[in-house]
Amino acid sequence: MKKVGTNDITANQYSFIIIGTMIGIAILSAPKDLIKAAEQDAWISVIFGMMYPFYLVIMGILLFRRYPDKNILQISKICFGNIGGGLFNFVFMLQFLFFAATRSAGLDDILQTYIASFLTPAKLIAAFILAAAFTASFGLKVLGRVNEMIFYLMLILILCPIAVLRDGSILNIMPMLQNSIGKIIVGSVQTVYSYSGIEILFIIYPRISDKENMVKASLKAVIATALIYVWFVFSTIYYLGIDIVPKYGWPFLSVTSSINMPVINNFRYIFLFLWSIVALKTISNYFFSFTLIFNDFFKGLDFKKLCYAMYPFVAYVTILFSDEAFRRNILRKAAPNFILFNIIGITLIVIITYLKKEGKYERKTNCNSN
Amino acid sequence: MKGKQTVILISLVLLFISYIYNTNMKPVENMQVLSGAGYDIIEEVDGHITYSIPLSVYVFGEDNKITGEIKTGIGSTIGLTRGDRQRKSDNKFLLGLEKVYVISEDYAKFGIRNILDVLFTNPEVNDMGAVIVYNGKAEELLGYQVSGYATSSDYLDGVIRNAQGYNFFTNNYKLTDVFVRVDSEGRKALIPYVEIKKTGPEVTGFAIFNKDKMVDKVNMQEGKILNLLREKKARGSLNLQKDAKSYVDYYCEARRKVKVEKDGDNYKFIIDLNLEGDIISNEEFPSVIDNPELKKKLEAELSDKIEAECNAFIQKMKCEYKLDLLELGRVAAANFGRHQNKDWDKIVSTSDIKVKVKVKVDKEGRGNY
Amino acid sequence: MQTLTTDIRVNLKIILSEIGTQSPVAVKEFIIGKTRFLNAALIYNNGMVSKDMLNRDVLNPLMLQLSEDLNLNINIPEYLSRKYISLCNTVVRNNLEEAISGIKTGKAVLIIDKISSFILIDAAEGNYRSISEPVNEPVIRGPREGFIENINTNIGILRRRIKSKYLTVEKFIIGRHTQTELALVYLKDIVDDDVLNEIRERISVIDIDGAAGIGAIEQYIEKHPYSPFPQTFGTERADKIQANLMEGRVAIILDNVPFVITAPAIFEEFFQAVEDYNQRSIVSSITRFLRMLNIFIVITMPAIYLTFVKYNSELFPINSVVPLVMSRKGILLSPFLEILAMEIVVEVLREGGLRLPGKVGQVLSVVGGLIIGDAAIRAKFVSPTTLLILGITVVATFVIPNYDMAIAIRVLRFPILILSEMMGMFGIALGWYFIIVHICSLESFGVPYFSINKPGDFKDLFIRTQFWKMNKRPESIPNKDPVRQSDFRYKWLKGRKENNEKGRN
Repeated sequence: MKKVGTNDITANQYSFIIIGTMIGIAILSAPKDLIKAAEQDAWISVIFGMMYPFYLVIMGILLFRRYPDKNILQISKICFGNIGGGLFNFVFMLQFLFFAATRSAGLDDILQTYIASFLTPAKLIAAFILAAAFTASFGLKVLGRVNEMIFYLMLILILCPIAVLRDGSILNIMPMLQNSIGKIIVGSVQTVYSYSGIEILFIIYPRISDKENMVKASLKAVIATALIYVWFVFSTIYYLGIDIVPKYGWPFLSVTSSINMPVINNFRYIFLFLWSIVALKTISNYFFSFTLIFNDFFKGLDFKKLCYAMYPFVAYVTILFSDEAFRRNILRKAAPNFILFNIIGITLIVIITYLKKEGKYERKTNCNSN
Repeated sequence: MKGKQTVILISLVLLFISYIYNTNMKPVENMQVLSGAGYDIIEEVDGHITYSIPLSVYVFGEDNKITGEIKTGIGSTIGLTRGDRQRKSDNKFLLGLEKVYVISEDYAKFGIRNILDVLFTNPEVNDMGAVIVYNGKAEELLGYQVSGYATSSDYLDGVIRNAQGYNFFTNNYKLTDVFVRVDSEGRKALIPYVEIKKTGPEVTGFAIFNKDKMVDKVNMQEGKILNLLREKKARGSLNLQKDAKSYVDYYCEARRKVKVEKDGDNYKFIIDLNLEGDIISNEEFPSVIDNPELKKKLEAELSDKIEAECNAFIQKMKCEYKLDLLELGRVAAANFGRHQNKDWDKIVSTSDIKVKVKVKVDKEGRGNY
Repeated sequence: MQTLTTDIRVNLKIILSEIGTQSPVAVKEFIIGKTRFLNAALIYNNGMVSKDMLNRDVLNPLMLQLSEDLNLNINIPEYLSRKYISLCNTVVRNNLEEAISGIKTGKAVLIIDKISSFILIDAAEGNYRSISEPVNEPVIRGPREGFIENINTNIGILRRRIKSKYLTVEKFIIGRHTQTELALVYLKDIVDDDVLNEIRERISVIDIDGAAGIGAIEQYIEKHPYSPFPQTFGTERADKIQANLMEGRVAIILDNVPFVITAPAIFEEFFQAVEDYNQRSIVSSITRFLRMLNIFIVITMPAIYLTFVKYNSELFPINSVVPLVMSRKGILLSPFLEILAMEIVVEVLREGGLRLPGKVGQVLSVVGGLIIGDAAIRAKFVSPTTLLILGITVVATFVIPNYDMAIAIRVLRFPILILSEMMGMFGIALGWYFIIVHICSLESFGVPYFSINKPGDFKDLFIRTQFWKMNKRPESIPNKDPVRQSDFRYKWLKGRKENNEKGRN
């Protein structure tokens, strides 16, 4: 095996990309919506919410078993034909654009509120998307490394609520399971869009160099993400109590603001400073996926140049989303549809690939690929 | 290739200019640094309300001399006071470094919800500043000259911060703590009550709040017992005094544990107080450390006395204040379910509350003189 | 292959014209033989050979002690070099190019009439610096051996340190005019073939007229010339090169340069110093941590200060804002210009101090550092706090052991400073994000530059654990033979334990 200069990612980096795509900006506001529905049991409803990414991971593993070297863009064409597959890919691409835009607009919101009130949304968003285009232009290999690197940084940030645990109270999360399972599930459904991002696995899994670890890596990624979400929601409730959390736009930031640190007045700023690096990485992942699928439609374009060519377009779309009321509204309407589309579309693909296991389809695809 | 680089360079310069252009931000030396904020209310006869919000700012004079100054804004809402204040000021205000938020007693009785709202919304304010209630006008306290301090806010900050460790004070009088307590089920905000005495401002008790409204105040004597019963872990001194010449002083750390039992619709609360500490002055007993029996006797006498004081306070709380000042409702809610439209004040006032005090004497310093 | 003729006149003419008529080549013509005279000529480059040696060991025996007539049927050059020339390094050759390049590199060529082969006599002697401690990389505990300007001596130093039969030296000639020697040195059984081939290929295609220095060579072969970060590791210290060779890297030695580089390089190795391996592991781990911290301080400190002063003043600790504002009252320049101006002054002082001879340099640092600094504060040009922050930053740079990396890190301050002026705290975050992405995108000869995904390497990356725990070579640098050492320590540790137990029983 060639040790140097390959363009593949390791299974670990694959996990980090998945975690990195799912954990970004939405996690900071997630406790708010969850608590409205599931009260102090919100952290349990996170586990239910994780069913969606978990389901997609299972689908991903099934597809991977069948076509370890093809991503969903190629498989969809095998299943639905060129036009149907193209249509599927187009919608699949749209959601990455949609989430890239909403996530950047969300980051813009936080930064405008806390540390960069002197800048206009357009200025901030132009910077985010430039950073995303810059990262994406280096391709998957570098994206993998960046995700890996930033994951370690994130780990430190995730652990900082430990410092405030002694100021919180276990009374805040008691009594456990007071709310019915139904209520808890309702809570998880409302925030399921926070967990989107897992879809990226369908386009990157063929590029894993150590394919035997793919299944393990996928499961690891989902479980790690679930744990991090649970920890965030749990520590927020633990510290603030359920009556106060829904009042905050980004409750978790208030948890961090109570960490006492020498030299600096408020730890929240340090947290935001480092977390914006984490968020930029998430946006980069979405941008990369979007551009990659776009590139799939027009083969032969230089990916690097395409990334920069896409920059003004994506930035423009994002600026449209920077109006918060508009964004929340469209998010409420569009996100469930995308999720339904993913569940139905991908399940369909998996079923078709397994039904047409042997025989002409296989041969036909071979002819096509030649 | 050369053309490309020139384009990149020029666009970078343009970018830089477009970002720094028109940001309207000023360096810190050209801002008015806040040291404290006050909240006054002026109620007119016809029920019309005007807010007066004084801010205490630093003035940097010649020869590195720092003094304080009050900038007051008046308006029919808190937001409007900002414009009014800026009219009278030569610089912008720098938020985020406030040390204290002084609320006048009138305002506190009127209800502090809109103060909390305006402070909660503004992400720049300092969540860690102490909140206090003053018996006069906030402007008066902020403008009070304490010798050795530029502003009285600096002084008050020290007073509140260092109160911890005596009288069973905690450090939970910050703005975030008030945010968290006012609206949570079964919780009550408790804010230090400050008066100006001969020697300057001092904490003379606590303002007790029902939701966002101040309902009463307790003096320091009661406040101490209230703290003892209310806080999870706090430190302070207690004593056993027979007359002016024979007494024992005891400095201890108190830990509270609450057990709640439910019997139908009746609740029963048991407050376990574990006190552990040292004798700091002993003018009554001979050295108790060498004498286990005497030590036991002292411990028993102490715990009896404290228990009696606690019970007296609880009685007063139940009958007079009719409020769940000890946050017992919080424990009950955590055990038997939240958000079930229960009025914990009523329940606690009518329930049986038992206090069990356990005193343990650890050391007696370097000896007994 | 051009060979010599049998006519000495023609041969001389050919050699001289090939070397170039303008070159100061010395030709000593003489006669050998007792009765039957044979014309001979010794050709050498003035100043590159030891004349003493030639006089004593070549001319003296051939002209004075040779008392026989030479039989033309025997191989005269071979015979002469065996019997008369009492120098150790002589070879007989008949390839003209070898003669030419031999003369150029300081050898002497002896040609004899009627014979088409010649003797190549190595009497090279240049006046080189002796091996001494590198001035720029002193150590407290460690060898005082540094490379010099002679490639052969340098290879010799390495050979002396690594006696393995796998130590391989490959030579290249770089530069059409300078024809400088360049050597790749590596351990054949450790180095990864892909990496080696990559380096070899990149070096072999270099087509320049003159190899100016190792820095230029470095930039000819690296992949990302626009990056501020060095992508090969350069040093004057032989022990560092030795350690790097043992980890599977390739050393590149250029003649006339006392600076040797190794490739591939990873980011972290620039923060490791010789002392780390000679000191106690806990001590070195702490120093390493400090160095890493310094990257952050150098790059971000001025920028953070700027945002604090300008955009996010509420971040100052409450108690320090008052003295800060007091010290900043009435400063002439805006915070950004103030910091930038002082940064530039510091850089100018540093650059100036570098060029000046020692004594004058001291004057510069006194005048520059103390007097200008003090005057700038008194004139209300800058605030003392700014000066303090910049002072810390400058001092922090000196902790980074590698000069190239230190400069790279220093340069990064400026973009971050500008970004923070543009976007405040978020600008710094954005800058760091770009730095992270940039470092992650770098590759040194196909090897990822920033190595964080090899858990085994953490033993010797940000900390330095016990040597006996580092049984494997770092994975960040690909290698053929991952095992560095066996668990030998357990042999006696175990033995002790058993003995103790026996004793107890």
